[in-house]
Amino acid sequence: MPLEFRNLIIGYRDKSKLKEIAGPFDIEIPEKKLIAVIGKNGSGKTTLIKTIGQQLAALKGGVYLNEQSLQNISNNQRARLISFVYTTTLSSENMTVHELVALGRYPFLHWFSKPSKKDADCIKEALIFTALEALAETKIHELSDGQKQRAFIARALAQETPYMVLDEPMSHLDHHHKAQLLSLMKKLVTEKNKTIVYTTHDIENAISHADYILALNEGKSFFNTPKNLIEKGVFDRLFPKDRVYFDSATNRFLYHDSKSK
Amino acid sequence: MTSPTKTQRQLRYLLLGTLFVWAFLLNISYGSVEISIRNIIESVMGNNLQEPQLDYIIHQYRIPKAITAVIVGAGLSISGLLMQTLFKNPLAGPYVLGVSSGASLGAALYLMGASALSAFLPHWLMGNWSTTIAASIGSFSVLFIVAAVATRIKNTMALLIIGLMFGSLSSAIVSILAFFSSKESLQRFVFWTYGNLGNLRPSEIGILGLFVGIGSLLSILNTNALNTMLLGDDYAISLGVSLKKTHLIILITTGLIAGSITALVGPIAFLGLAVPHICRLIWDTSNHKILIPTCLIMGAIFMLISDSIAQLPGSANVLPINAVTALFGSPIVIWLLIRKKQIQL
Repeated sequence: MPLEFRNLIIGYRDKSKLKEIAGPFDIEIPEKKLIAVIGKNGSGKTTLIKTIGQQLAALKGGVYLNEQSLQNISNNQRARLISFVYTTTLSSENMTVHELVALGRYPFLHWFSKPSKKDADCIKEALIFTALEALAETKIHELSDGQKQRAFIARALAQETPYMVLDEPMSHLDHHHKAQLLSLMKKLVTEKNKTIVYTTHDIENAISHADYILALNEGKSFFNTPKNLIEKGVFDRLFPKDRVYFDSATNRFLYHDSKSK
Repeated sequence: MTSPTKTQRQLRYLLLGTLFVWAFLLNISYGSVEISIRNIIESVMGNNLQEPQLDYIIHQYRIPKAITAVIVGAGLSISGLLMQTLFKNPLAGPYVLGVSSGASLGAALYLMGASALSAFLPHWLMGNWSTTIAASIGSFSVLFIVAAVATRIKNTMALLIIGLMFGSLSSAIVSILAFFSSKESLQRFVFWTYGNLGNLRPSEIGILGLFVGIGSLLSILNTNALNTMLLGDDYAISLGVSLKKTHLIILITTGLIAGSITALVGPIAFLGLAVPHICRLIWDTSNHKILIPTCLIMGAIFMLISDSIAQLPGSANVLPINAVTALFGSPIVIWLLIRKKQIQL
């Protein structure tokens, strides 16, 4: 059940004018892999995610899942295939972790129907997998940023979708929590067979951890394994200024080349 | 801090139920003639009282008024809850859509505008029902416009502003009408704005009950969708919620409830804004599965007690119900907020 971008151009419709941001993409996302979407602010990372979530219509082409355009499937069907973790703050944080994770079961409930045994099991498993069991009855507003992010992932996990899309999941986290979150994401790929697409502007991080990278810059895009993209010199061309970076772990300025594997 | 346990919740429900029965009996007992609770229970059970006039008062006046209070309190609270969830704004209430402004305008046009023209209008148009009909036309025209706008635009903030504009617009027209109208008709309008629970015919209570009943049922059926809205629009869409459809259901539900209440009872403010907060604070949750039933009961209790206070026990005077709800409710909300030191939607 591959996720594909077919001739996809993303952007905004401003009245009747089309404002293209990136594309055309012709990419088949490999299954059960960790895929990083990198690029600077404004390169189209969030636009791409909104297009996958059908909050924005594609300007041209489309997102296909299992040979079917996402535009043509129902909201409920889509919610059973792709789950999302956004950066937006909740309208209300006055809910427990358990209540938040339970909302991931919404696509499987009908009107007022009560959660089934299956729903309860899913919620429990998601809590265990993200090591949040002990915090199940804690309110969201009492969690740390790292715990919050895990709770959102648990909610997406309870949705039982083969695909998970995460928008800037690591942006507010410190080093330790970033590492913790990455290992959780890798575990989701290896143990839960999820295909995870996440955006980040931390190129280093993407190069060292992701299986594939979609690099966006000023409308151009490249998609391949980190190794392949490095060999082709894509990063040097797309992000020349980013070659020098400050490594806070070692307190030194480093070059890309010194760390590429 | 963890949320209340199941037994704690059950205990609170039990307490709420007891409070409801007490408030209902208290409401029937207070009025220009005080009736003992024992007499009320006997009369309701079908036993004839020693004083038959008390029987008459209980069945013809007090019970219909208490039932109206229950329906109005429950209806306003549930529509306030829906508005706060829809607009993601703790200050929203049932009247932000402008439906009550529409009702006020309708009532004002009839009470202050039409009285000048009464000589030219057919007699049947000036009957008892007319204020109600005028207010209903006003509120449902506004509801119709709001719903039409909602199908066109996604942005709920725009709806909120449109509702506020309707409010300003109609109060401006009401001011102009008031400026030119006679003392008597102005007084009639002012009395209408005070709200009155005791003036309803059984058929009107039936209509009110029907609208509030349908509204509550629609809310209960949408419990899960309402909960996803607490996550924000992005998450709600990603969970497969059709935002347009859900928004429209919420708008129509609120409009039907708030519109019919304003038209029949008058613009009773405050309660719809306050009760959802009281419920959230007491139950320490934003889960609609708990909030919807508790808002219904708490709203009814609140209205019953407010109306009992308005009767000024031991006196022949009656205070405007609209003033009492705020007078009695605001300190409760302020006290709860200061105690919890936190406000969450």
